[in-house]
Amino acid sequence: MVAVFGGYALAAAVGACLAVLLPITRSDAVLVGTLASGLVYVASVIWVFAAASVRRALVRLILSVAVLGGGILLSRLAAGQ
Amino acid sequence: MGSFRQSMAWLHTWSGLVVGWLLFAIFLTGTASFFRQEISLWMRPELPAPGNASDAAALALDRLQLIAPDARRWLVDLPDERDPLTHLYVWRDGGRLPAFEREALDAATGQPSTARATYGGDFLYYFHFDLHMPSIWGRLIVGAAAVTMLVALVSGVIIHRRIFRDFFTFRPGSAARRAWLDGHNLLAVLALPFHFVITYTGLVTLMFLYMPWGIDAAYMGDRQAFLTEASLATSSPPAAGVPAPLAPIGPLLERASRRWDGDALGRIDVHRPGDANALIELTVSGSAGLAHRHRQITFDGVTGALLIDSDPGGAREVYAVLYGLHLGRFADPPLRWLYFVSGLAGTAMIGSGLVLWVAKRRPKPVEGGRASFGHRLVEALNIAAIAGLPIAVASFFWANRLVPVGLSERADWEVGCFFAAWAVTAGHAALRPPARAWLEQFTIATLMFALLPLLNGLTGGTHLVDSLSQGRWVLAGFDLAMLATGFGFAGVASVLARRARAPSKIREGAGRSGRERMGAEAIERRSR
Repeated sequence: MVAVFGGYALAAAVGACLAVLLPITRSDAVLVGTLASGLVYVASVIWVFAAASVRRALVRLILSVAVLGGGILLSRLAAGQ
Repeated sequence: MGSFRQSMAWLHTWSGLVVGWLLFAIFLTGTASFFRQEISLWMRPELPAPGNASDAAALALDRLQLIAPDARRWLVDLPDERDPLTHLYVWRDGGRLPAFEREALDAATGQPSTARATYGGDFLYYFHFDLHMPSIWGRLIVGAAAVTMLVALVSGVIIHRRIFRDFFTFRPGSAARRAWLDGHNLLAVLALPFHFVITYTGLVTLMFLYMPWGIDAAYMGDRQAFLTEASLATSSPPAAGVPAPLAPIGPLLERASRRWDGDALGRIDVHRPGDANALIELTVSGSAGLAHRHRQITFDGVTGALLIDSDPGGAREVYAVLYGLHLGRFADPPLRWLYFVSGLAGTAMIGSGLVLWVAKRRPKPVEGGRASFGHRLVEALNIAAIAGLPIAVASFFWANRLVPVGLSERADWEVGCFFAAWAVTAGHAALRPPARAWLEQFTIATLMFALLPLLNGLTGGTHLVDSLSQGRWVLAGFDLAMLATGFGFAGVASVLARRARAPSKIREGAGRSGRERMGAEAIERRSR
């Protein structure tokens, strides 16, 4: 469960983050982010299963998603000003 | 490191099992889809050999003007060397129904094709990503299966440490389990780049359905704006409500051809035909280059003025190439066959993995153990997928020839036969003892595939002897492929029959190779 949903959340966050933050054309950034997100999903599932315990995997995932989500929020705020 | 590998082994086993049957079906029908056009051609034996169709575009637009002057959008897929038909698609905004309509035209005459109604290869093609399910459910399930496939591939490579040595290891005579494992590894390693690329690019084709968050973040949820900006799709402009005749297509085609250095035109897309806001969009043919739909030209539909000439670079080109790699429309026959063989290897890899799961957990006869329900269930599902699905595909081809041509909804009857046959094989697999069920189903598959060329000759198709002597390689190729498939299944069935007749011998063999294995492992330990 952690791998399936956590991995998806992380992949979505990376995809969205790249789409917003990459310094290239907006449509290109979206493509790069979305293309990368699939690979991130696979990597994060492996990562979760490699973890010593479920709790540790969960903590890692939540932290990464939070950092990426923060990045998106910050860029939104910056763009809003 | 040991425990990491163990957890990867667990992940590989269970991720593979959960989606294995589905992946088998997706890979098998997807592999067949590399020959989608060729299958369609065989399934419409009335079609003449492809001829000259230079004015197919103009004829198609004339036909659309006649049947759908009030449509929101027309789409024309032009004939090419693989498909002699022109395909028309019509979308309407409310008002007159149906909202969506399609028609196949005889490219040379511009009249509706008189060939039998069939979905042809398109059925297998659509099934491999929407599973014949309504709405997007099938696509979501297939996407989840594809991600799981990637996970299984990565974890499989991690647990497989002696990748190079095992490349040369195949021990068909040894214990069944060992042979299956070797076969599984060999098939996986042999075409590993293909497996990775085809699975990943498969996800890419539908990635905006699975991962819309990048668009949502960058475009605040306005997906159409993204598609337009990335020139991935043009939305129909609003109608002006002022009638205006469509610009003649001939000069536009010439201008496009000049800009594409003579590359063939593949598709014509007309938005708001007959309105002052009409747009005409031309797309290069899929066989021209690796990338999928990489070059498009948009003209004003009334004045013929050039509006957009997109020759995408950067990320869009990468996306188009990844998409194109999955479809393989650029491939000429030798490369297409390589795609096909690699796809078969992938299908066989998945199948052997499923069989391996059962073989590893088979209760030992000496302990008099009975199979658990779970074990029995997995084995029955294996039979229904690995032997049953090919039977279903063969039934689809048989139905194509046996369902009367005049029957209404006959195309749906063909599909019905596919699912009915599959259901029967599943029921058969559940009721019969596994060893018998495997043998019986492979025997049926053998007969159904091997007799298809005969059926083809008897029911109006070009007989194999004729198609060979006339050099109609597409039709001959289909028949020969069916014969080869039949022989393949015959081989499997005869091996199974031999095993069923001499079970004691097999057990003896298993014991011997077990000793051999122990010996080999001892040598390996010493050499470290």
